Amino acid sequence: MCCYSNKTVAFLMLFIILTFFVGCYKIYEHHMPTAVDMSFQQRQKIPLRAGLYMSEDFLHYSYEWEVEFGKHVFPIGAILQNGSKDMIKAAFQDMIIVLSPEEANTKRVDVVISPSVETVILPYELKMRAYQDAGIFIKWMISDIEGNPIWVETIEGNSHLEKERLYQTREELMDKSLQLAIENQFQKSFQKIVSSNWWASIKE
Amino acid sequence: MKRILLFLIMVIFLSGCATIQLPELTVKPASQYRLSQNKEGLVISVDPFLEKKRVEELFGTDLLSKGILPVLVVVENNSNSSTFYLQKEQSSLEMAEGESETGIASAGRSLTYQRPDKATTTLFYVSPLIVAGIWQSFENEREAITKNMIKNELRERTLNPGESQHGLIYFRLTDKTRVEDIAAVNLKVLNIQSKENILFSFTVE
Repeated sequence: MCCYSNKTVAFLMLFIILTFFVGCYKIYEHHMPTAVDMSFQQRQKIPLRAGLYMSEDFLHYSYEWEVEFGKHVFPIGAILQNGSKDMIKAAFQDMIIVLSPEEANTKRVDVVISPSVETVILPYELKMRAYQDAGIFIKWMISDIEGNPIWVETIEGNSHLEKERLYQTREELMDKSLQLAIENQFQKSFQKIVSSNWWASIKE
Repeated sequence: MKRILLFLIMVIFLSGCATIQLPELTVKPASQYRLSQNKEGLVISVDPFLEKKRVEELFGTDLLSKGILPVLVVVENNSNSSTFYLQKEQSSLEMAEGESETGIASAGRSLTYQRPDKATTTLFYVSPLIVAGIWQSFENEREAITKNMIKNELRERTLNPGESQHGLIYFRLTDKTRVEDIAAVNLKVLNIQSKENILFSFTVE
Protein backbone atom coordinates (compact mmCIF):
# COMPACT_ATOMS: atom_id res chain seq x y z
CA MET A 1 0.00 0.00 0.00
CA CYS A 2 2.99 2.28 0.56
CA CYS A 3 3.37 2.71 -3.22
CA TYR A 4 -0.06 4.37 -3.71
CA SER A 5 -1.12 7.77 -2.58
CA ASN A 6 -4.48 8.33 -0.91
CA LYS A 7 -5.73 10.12 -4.02
CA THR A 8 -4.96 7.13 -6.25
CA VAL A 9 -6.71 4.77 -3.88
CA ALA A 10 -9.75 7.04 -3.76
CA PHE A 11 -9.91 7.23 -7.57
CA LEU A 12 -9.53 3.49 -7.87
CA MET A 13 -12.33 2.88 -5.38
CA LEU A 14 -14.59 5.37 -7.14
CA PHE A 15 -13.91 3.68 -10.47
CA ILE A 16 -14.70 0.24 -9.03
CA ILE A 17 -17.91 1.47 -7.39
CA LEU A 18 -19.08 3.22 -10.56
CA THR A 19 -18.34 0.18 -12.71
CA PHE A 20 -20.19 -2.02 -10.26
CA PHE A 21 -23.33 0.15 -10.11
CA VAL A 22 -23.52 0.82 -13.85
CA GLY A 23 -23.34 -2.90 -14.49
CA CYS A 24 -26.15 -3.48 -12.00
CA TYR A 25 -28.81 -1.43 -13.81
CA LYS A 26 -31.37 -3.86 -15.06
CA ILE A 27 -34.72 -3.65 -16.80
CA TYR A 28 -37.21 -6.29 -15.67
CA GLU A 29 -39.79 -6.92 -18.39
CA HIS A 30 -42.82 -8.49 -16.74
CA HIS A 31 -45.15 -10.84 -18.57
CA MET A 32 -48.57 -9.79 -17.44
CA PRO A 33 -51.70 -11.79 -18.26
CA THR A 34 -53.77 -10.40 -21.11
CA ALA A 35 -57.21 -11.29 -19.72
CA VAL A 36 -58.92 -10.96 -16.37
CA ASP A 37 -59.63 -14.17 -14.50
CA MET A 38 -63.12 -13.31 -13.31
CA SER A 39 -66.77 -13.11 -14.29
CA PHE A 40 -69.33 -10.37 -13.90
CA GLN A 41 -72.75 -11.37 -12.58
CA GLN A 42 -75.63 -9.15 -13.66
CA ARG A 43 -79.28 -10.16 -13.76
CA GLN A 44 -80.60 -7.14 -15.57
CA LYS A 45 -78.43 -5.24 -17.99
CA ILE A 46 -78.54 -1.47 -18.44
CA PRO A 47 -80.88 -1.00 -21.45
CA LEU A 48 -78.43 1.09 -23.50
CA ARG A 49 -76.11 0.61 -26.44
CA ALA A 50 -72.67 1.56 -25.14
CA GLY A 51 -69.69 2.61 -27.22
CA LEU A 52 -66.42 1.76 -25.48
CA TYR A 53 -63.68 4.20 -26.42
CA MET A 54 -60.16 3.32 -25.28
CA SER A 55 -57.42 5.83 -26.03
CA GLU A 56 -54.00 4.79 -27.36
CA ASP A 57 -52.56 5.59 -23.91
CA PHE A 58 -54.97 3.18 -22.30
CA LEU A 59 -54.60 0.42 -24.89
CA HIS A 60 -50.83 0.40 -24.56
CA TYR A 61 -50.52 1.36 -20.93
CA SER A 62 -47.28 0.24 -19.40
CA TYR A 63 -46.42 0.95 -15.81
CA GLU A 64 -42.75 1.65 -15.23
CA TRP A 65 -41.48 1.42 -11.72
CA GLU A 66 -38.03 2.69 -10.84
CA VAL A 67 -36.18 0.75 -8.18
CA GLU A 68 -32.60 0.63 -6.97
CA PHE A 69 -30.32 0.10 -9.98
CA GLY A 70 -33.08 -0.74 -12.42
CA LYS A 71 -36.72 -0.61 -13.32
CA HIS A 72 -39.65 -2.94 -13.65
CA VAL A 73 -41.90 -2.62 -16.70
CA PHE A 74 -45.46 -3.93 -16.44
CA PRO A 75 -47.31 -3.92 -19.79
CA ILE A 76 -50.91 -3.91 -18.54
CA GLY A 77 -52.63 -2.42 -21.61
CA ALA A 78 -53.91 -5.79 -22.84
CA ILE A 79 -55.45 -6.86 -19.55
CA LEU A 80 -57.05 -3.42 -19.11
CA GLN A 81 -58.43 -3.53 -22.66
CA ASN A 82 -59.91 -7.04 -22.33
CA GLY A 83 -61.17 -6.43 -18.80
CA SER A 84 -62.95 -3.25 -19.93
CA LYS A 85 -64.60 -5.07 -22.84
CA ASP A 86 -65.79 -7.93 -20.60
CA MET A 87 -67.10 -5.56 -17.96
CA ILE A 88 -69.00 -3.24 -20.31
CA LYS A 89 -70.43 -6.24 -22.21
CA ALA A 90 -71.74 -7.63 -18.95
CA ALA A 91 -73.18 -4.33 -17.75
CA PHE A 92 -74.93 -3.12 -20.92
CA GLN A 93 -77.52 -4.59 -23.23
CA ASP A 94 -75.28 -3.91 -26.21
CA MET A 95 -71.65 -2.86 -26.55
CA ILE A 96 -69.44 -1.90 -29.47
CA ILE A 97 -65.92 -0.54 -29.68
CA VAL A 98 -65.59 2.99 -31.05
CA LEU A 99 -62.26 4.15 -32.39
CA SER A 100 -62.85 7.80 -31.56
CA PRO A 101 -65.41 9.68 -29.48
CA GLU A 102 -66.70 11.24 -32.73
CA GLU A 103 -67.46 7.81 -34.18
CA ALA A 104 -70.21 7.39 -31.58
CA ASN A 105 -72.58 9.42 -33.77
CA THR A 106 -72.27 7.15 -36.77
CA LYS A 107 -72.43 3.95 -34.74
CA ARG A 108 -75.73 4.99 -33.13
CA VAL A 109 -74.69 4.41 -29.55
CA ASP A 110 -76.51 5.90 -26.57
CA VAL A 111 -73.42 6.62 -24.46
CA VAL A 112 -69.64 6.60 -24.82
CA ILE A 113 -67.57 5.05 -22.04
CA SER A 114 -63.91 5.97 -21.74
CA PRO A 115 -61.56 4.62 -19.09
CA SER A 116 -58.18 6.13 -18.22
CA VAL A 117 -55.47 5.06 -15.79
CA GLU A 118 -54.93 7.62 -13.05
CA THR A 119 -52.33 5.96 -10.86
CA VAL A 120 -50.64 2.62 -10.20
CA ILE A 121 -49.08 1.96 -6.80
CA LEU A 122 -46.46 -0.60 -5.92
CA PRO A 123 -44.31 -0.31 -2.80
CA TYR A 124 -40.76 0.86 -3.17
CA GLU A 125 -39.30 -1.43 -0.61
CA LEU A 126 -39.75 -5.15 -1.19
CA LYS A 127 -36.77 -6.98 0.09
CA MET A 128 -37.85 -7.64 3.62
CA ARG A 129 -41.55 -8.09 3.00
CA ALA A 130 -43.47 -11.33 2.98
CA TYR A 131 -46.40 -9.73 1.19
CA GLN A 132 -47.10 -7.47 -1.73
CA ASP A 133 -49.59 -4.59 -1.85
CA ALA A 134 -50.68 -3.12 -5.15
CA GLY A 135 -53.21 -0.53 -6.20
CA ILE A 136 -54.61 0.97 -9.36
CA PHE A 137 -56.93 3.95 -9.89
CA ILE A 138 -58.99 4.10 -13.07
CA LYS A 139 -61.24 6.97 -14.03
CA TRP A 140 -64.43 5.96 -15.84
CA MET A 141 -66.16 8.65 -17.81
CA ILE A 142 -69.56 8.10 -19.38
CA SER A 143 -70.59 10.80 -21.86
CA ASP A 144 -73.50 11.41 -24.19
CA ILE A 145 -72.89 11.27 -27.95
CA GLU A 146 -72.04 14.97 -27.97
CA GLY A 147 -69.23 14.40 -25.49
CA ASN A 148 -70.93 15.88 -22.42
CA PRO A 149 -70.04 13.97 -19.25
CA ILE A 150 -72.98 12.20 -17.60
CA TRP A 151 -71.27 10.09 -14.96
CA VAL A 152 -67.67 10.10 -13.75
CA GLU A 153 -66.07 7.98 -11.06
CA THR A 154 -62.48 7.18 -10.14
CA ILE A 155 -62.28 3.67 -8.74
CA GLU A 156 -59.46 2.18 -6.72
CA GLY A 157 -58.61 -1.48 -7.02
CA ASN A 158 -56.20 -3.02 -4.54
CA SER A 159 -54.71 -6.28 -3.42
CA HIS A 160 -52.82 -7.62 -0.46
CA LEU A 161 -51.03 -10.82 -1.32
CA GLU A 162 -49.24 -12.95 1.21
CA LYS A 163 -46.14 -14.74 0.04
CA GLU A 164 -47.71 -18.18 -0.05
CA ARG A 165 -44.93 -20.32 -1.34
CA LEU A 166 -41.27 -19.97 -0.60
CA TYR A 167 -40.29 -20.72 -4.16
CA GLN A 168 -42.48 -17.98 -5.56
CA THR A 169 -40.18 -15.31 -6.97
CA ARG A 170 -40.46 -11.65 -6.18
CA GLU A 171 -41.39 -10.92 -9.80
CA GLU A 172 -44.19 -13.53 -9.76
CA LEU A 173 -45.50 -12.03 -6.56
CA MET A 174 -45.54 -8.55 -8.07
CA ASP A 175 -47.31 -9.72 -11.25
CA LYS A 176 -49.96 -11.60 -9.32
CA SER A 177 -50.48 -8.74 -6.94
CA LEU A 178 -50.97 -6.20 -9.73
CA GLN A 179 -53.28 -8.58 -11.61
CA LEU A 180 -55.45 -8.97 -8.49
CA ALA A 181 -55.57 -5.20 -8.01
CA ILE A 182 -56.71 -4.75 -11.62
CA GLU A 183 -59.42 -7.42 -11.20
CA ASN A 184 -60.53 -5.88 -7.92
CA GLN A 185 -60.80 -2.54 -9.71
CA PHE A 186 -63.00 -4.05 -12.45
CA GLN A 187 -65.24 -5.72 -9.90
CA LYS A 188 -65.75 -2.45 -8.01
CA SER A 189 -66.24 -0.44 -11.22
CA PHE A 190 -68.83 -2.93 -12.46
CA GLN A 191 -70.78 -2.66 -9.19
CA LYS A 192 -70.64 1.14 -9.27
CA ILE A 193 -71.83 1.39 -12.87
CA VAL A 194 -74.74 -1.03 -12.54
CA SER A 195 -75.91 0.01 -9.08
CA SER A 196 -76.39 3.67 -9.91
CA ASN A 197 -79.35 5.00 -11.93
CA TRP A 198 -77.34 7.58 -13.86
CA TRP A 199 -78.72 6.18 -17.14
CA ALA A 200 -82.43 6.58 -16.28
CA SER A 201 -82.80 9.99 -17.96
CA ILE A 202 -81.15 8.90 -21.22
CA LYS A 203 -83.92 6.55 -22.23
CA GLU A 204 -86.65 9.11 -21.57
CA MET B 1 -10.57 5.89 10.36
CA LYS B 2 -12.03 2.45 11.02
CA ARG B 3 -14.54 3.94 13.46
CA ILE B 4 -15.70 6.52 10.93
CA LEU B 5 -16.08 3.83 8.29
CA LEU B 6 -18.04 1.63 10.68
CA PHE B 7 -20.26 4.55 11.63
CA LEU B 8 -20.95 5.38 7.98
CA ILE B 9 -21.85 1.77 7.20
CA MET B 10 -24.18 1.69 10.21
CA VAL B 11 -25.88 4.95 9.15
CA ILE B 12 -26.40 3.70 5.58
CA PHE B 13 -27.66 0.35 6.79
CA LEU B 14 -30.05 1.69 9.42
CA SER B 15 -31.43 4.48 7.24
CA GLY B 16 -32.92 1.76 5.04
CA CYS B 17 -34.98 0.53 7.99
CA ALA B 18 -36.35 3.94 8.95
CA THR B 19 -40.03 4.57 8.32
CA ILE B 20 -41.87 7.79 8.80
CA GLN B 21 -45.31 8.03 10.36
CA LEU B 22 -47.53 10.56 8.63
CA PRO B 23 -50.71 11.97 10.21
CA GLU B 24 -54.20 11.57 8.77
CA LEU B 25 -55.66 14.48 6.82
CA THR B 26 -58.33 16.10 8.98
CA VAL B 27 -61.24 17.77 7.23
CA LYS B 28 -63.97 20.08 8.58
CA PRO B 29 -67.42 20.69 7.04
CA ALA B 30 -67.12 22.90 3.93
CA SER B 31 -68.84 25.89 5.54
CA GLN B 32 -66.21 26.13 8.28
CA TYR B 33 -63.36 27.15 5.98
CA ARG B 34 -62.43 30.78 5.43
CA LEU B 35 -62.26 30.40 1.65
CA SER B 36 -65.72 29.04 0.89
CA GLN B 37 -68.30 29.68 -1.85
CA ASN B 38 -71.80 28.50 -2.62
CA LYS B 39 -73.07 28.48 -6.20
CA GLU B 40 -76.26 26.74 -7.33
CA GLY B 41 -76.31 24.80 -4.07
CA LEU B 42 -72.77 23.50 -4.48
CA VAL B 43 -70.49 24.50 -1.60
CA ILE B 44 -66.77 24.43 -2.30
CA SER B 45 -64.03 25.38 0.17
CA VAL B 46 -60.30 25.49 -0.42
CA ASP B 47 -57.41 25.52 2.00
CA PRO B 48 -54.01 26.06 0.34
CA PHE B 49 -51.03 24.71 2.27
CA LEU B 50 -48.94 27.86 2.05
CA GLU B 51 -46.93 27.39 5.23
CA LYS B 52 -43.81 25.21 5.17
CA LYS B 53 -44.45 23.87 8.69
CA ARG B 54 -47.98 22.70 7.84
CA VAL B 55 -46.80 20.98 4.67
CA GLU B 56 -43.99 19.20 6.52
CA GLU B 57 -46.37 18.02 9.25
CA LEU B 58 -48.77 16.38 6.80
CA PHE B 59 -46.37 15.16 4.13
CA GLY B 60 -43.17 14.54 6.04
CA THR B 61 -41.25 16.75 3.64
CA ASP B 62 -41.28 20.33 2.40
CA LEU B 63 -43.19 19.96 -0.86
CA LEU B 64 -43.15 23.73 -1.39
CA SER B 65 -39.38 23.79 -1.77
CA LYS B 66 -39.75 21.01 -4.34
CA GLY B 67 -42.17 23.12 -6.34
CA ILE B 68 -45.42 21.49 -5.25
CA LEU B 69 -48.34 23.32 -3.64
CA PRO B 70 -51.04 21.12 -2.08
CA VAL B 71 -54.53 22.64 -1.89
CA LEU B 72 -57.26 20.96 0.14
CA VAL B 73 -60.65 21.04 -1.60
CA VAL B 74 -63.89 20.23 0.25
CA VAL B 75 -67.07 19.90 -1.83
CA GLU B 76 -70.68 19.44 -0.70
CA ASN B 77 -73.61 19.17 -3.07
CA ASN B 78 -76.50 20.75 -1.15
CA SER B 79 -78.68 21.29 -4.21
CA ASN B 80 -82.04 19.58 -4.64
CA SER B 81 -81.61 18.10 -8.07
CA SER B 82 -78.31 19.07 -9.72
CA THR B 83 -75.35 16.78 -10.27
CA PHE B 84 -71.91 18.38 -10.44
CA TYR B 85 -68.53 17.35 -11.73
CA LEU B 86 -65.39 19.11 -10.46
CA GLN B 87 -62.87 18.88 -13.30
CA LYS B 88 -59.61 18.58 -11.40
CA GLU B 89 -57.38 18.87 -14.43
CA GLN B 90 -58.94 22.23 -15.27
CA SER B 91 -57.91 23.66 -11.90
CA SER B 92 -55.40 26.48 -11.87
CA LEU B 93 -53.59 29.00 -9.74
CA GLU B 94 -53.60 32.65 -10.63
CA MET B 95 -50.49 34.68 -9.87
CA ALA B 96 -50.34 38.34 -8.89
CA GLU B 97 -47.57 39.02 -11.38
CA GLY B 98 -47.18 37.20 -14.64
CA GLU B 99 -44.43 34.81 -15.59
CA SER B 100 -43.78 32.58 -18.54
CA GLU B 101 -44.29 28.83 -18.65
CA THR B 102 -46.95 26.66 -17.14
CA GLY B 103 -47.37 22.93 -17.13
CA ILE B 104 -50.17 20.47 -16.73
CA ALA B 105 -49.29 16.94 -15.80
CA SER B 106 -51.20 13.81 -15.04
CA ALA B 107 -50.23 10.25 -14.23
CA GLY B 108 -48.27 8.50 -16.94
CA ARG B 109 -48.33 11.39 -19.37
CA SER B 110 -45.69 13.91 -20.27
CA LEU B 111 -45.82 17.58 -19.49
CA THR B 112 -47.35 19.87 -22.06
CA TYR B 113 -46.37 23.49 -21.83
CA GLN B 114 -48.32 26.54 -22.73
CA ARG B 115 -47.87 30.25 -22.40
CA PRO B 116 -50.25 32.25 -20.26
CA ASP B 117 -51.58 35.52 -21.51
CA LYS B 118 -51.22 39.00 -20.07
CA ALA B 119 -50.04 39.43 -16.52
CA THR B 120 -51.21 36.22 -14.95
CA THR B 121 -49.46 32.94 -14.61
CA THR B 122 -51.59 29.86 -14.48
CA LEU B 123 -50.15 26.89 -12.71
CA PHE B 124 -51.80 23.60 -13.22
CA TYR B 125 -52.44 20.50 -11.22
CA VAL B 126 -49.75 17.85 -11.02
CA SER B 127 -50.09 14.14 -10.29
CA PRO B 128 -48.33 12.72 -7.20
CA LEU B 129 -46.73 10.02 -9.33
CA ILE B 130 -44.78 12.57 -11.29
CA VAL B 131 -43.98 14.41 -8.09
CA ALA B 132 -42.48 11.22 -6.71
CA GLY B 133 -39.83 11.20 -9.38
CA ILE B 134 -38.79 14.77 -8.71
CA TRP B 135 -36.57 14.23 -5.74
CA GLN B 136 -34.32 11.45 -4.63
CA SER B 137 -34.81 10.30 -1.12
CA PHE B 138 -34.53 7.11 0.82
CA GLU B 139 -36.89 4.47 -0.54
CA ASN B 140 -38.95 3.94 2.58
CA GLU B 141 -39.50 7.63 3.03
CA ARG B 142 -40.33 8.11 -0.62
CA GLU B 143 -42.84 5.29 -0.48
CA ALA B 144 -44.57 6.69 2.61
CA ILE B 145 -44.68 10.22 1.19
CA THR B 146 -45.92 9.15 -2.24
CA LYS B 147 -48.56 6.81 -0.84
CA ASN B 148 -49.75 9.55 1.50
CA MET B 149 -50.02 12.02 -1.39
CA ILE B 150 -51.89 9.52 -3.56
CA LYS B 151 -54.18 8.51 -0.69
CA ASN B 152 -55.17 12.12 -0.04
CA GLU B 153 -55.53 13.21 -3.66
CA LEU B 154 -58.91 14.47 -4.84
CA ARG B 155 -60.50 11.91 -7.14
CA GLU B 156 -62.66 12.97 -10.05
CA ARG B 157 -66.31 11.94 -9.78
CA THR B 158 -69.82 13.24 -10.31
CA LEU B 159 -71.55 14.41 -7.14
CA ASN B 160 -75.27 13.79 -6.75
CA PRO B 161 -77.47 15.85 -4.40
CA GLY B 162 -76.51 15.17 -0.78
CA GLU B 163 -73.07 13.81 -1.66
CA SER B 164 -69.72 15.29 -0.68
CA GLN B 165 -66.05 14.71 -1.34
CA HIS B 166 -62.69 16.08 -0.30
CA GLY B 167 -59.06 15.71 -1.25
CA LEU B 168 -55.93 17.53 -2.27
CA ILE B 169 -55.04 18.97 -5.64
CA TYR B 170 -51.30 19.32 -6.24
CA PHE B 171 -50.12 22.32 -8.23
CA ARG B 172 -46.72 22.56 -9.83
CA LEU B 173 -44.85 25.76 -9.09
CA THR B 174 -42.25 26.83 -11.59
CA ASP B 175 -38.81 28.09 -10.56
CA LYS B 176 -39.87 31.66 -11.04
CA THR B 177 -43.02 31.52 -8.94
CA ARG B 178 -43.25 32.15 -5.23
CA VAL B 179 -46.01 31.03 -2.88
CA GLU B 180 -46.48 34.66 -1.75
CA ASP B 181 -47.42 35.64 -5.31
CA ILE B 182 -50.42 33.31 -5.53
CA ALA B 183 -53.48 35.49 -5.98
CA ALA B 184 -56.27 32.98 -6.47
CA VAL B 185 -57.21 29.31 -6.75
CA ASN B 186 -59.59 28.62 -9.64
CA LEU B 187 -61.76 25.52 -9.90
CA LYS B 188 -64.06 24.59 -12.75
CA VAL B 189 -67.24 22.65 -12.13
CA LEU B 190 -69.67 21.27 -14.69
CA ASN B 191 -73.40 21.16 -13.99
CA ILE B 192 -74.32 17.82 -15.58
CA GLN B 193 -77.97 18.73 -16.21
CA SER B 194 -77.53 22.25 -17.62
CA LYS B 195 -74.14 21.38 -19.24
CA GLU B 196 -72.82 24.75 -18.05
CA ASN B 197 -69.47 25.37 -16.44
CA ILE B 198 -69.30 27.21 -13.14
CA LEU B 199 -66.07 28.93 -12.12
CA PHE B 200 -65.15 29.05 -8.44
CA SER B 201 -62.39 31.59 -7.88
CA PHE B 202 -60.92 31.92 -4.38
CA THR B 203 -58.79 34.97 -3.66
CA VAL B 204 -55.76 34.06 -1.56
CA GLU B 205 -54.56 36.79 0.82
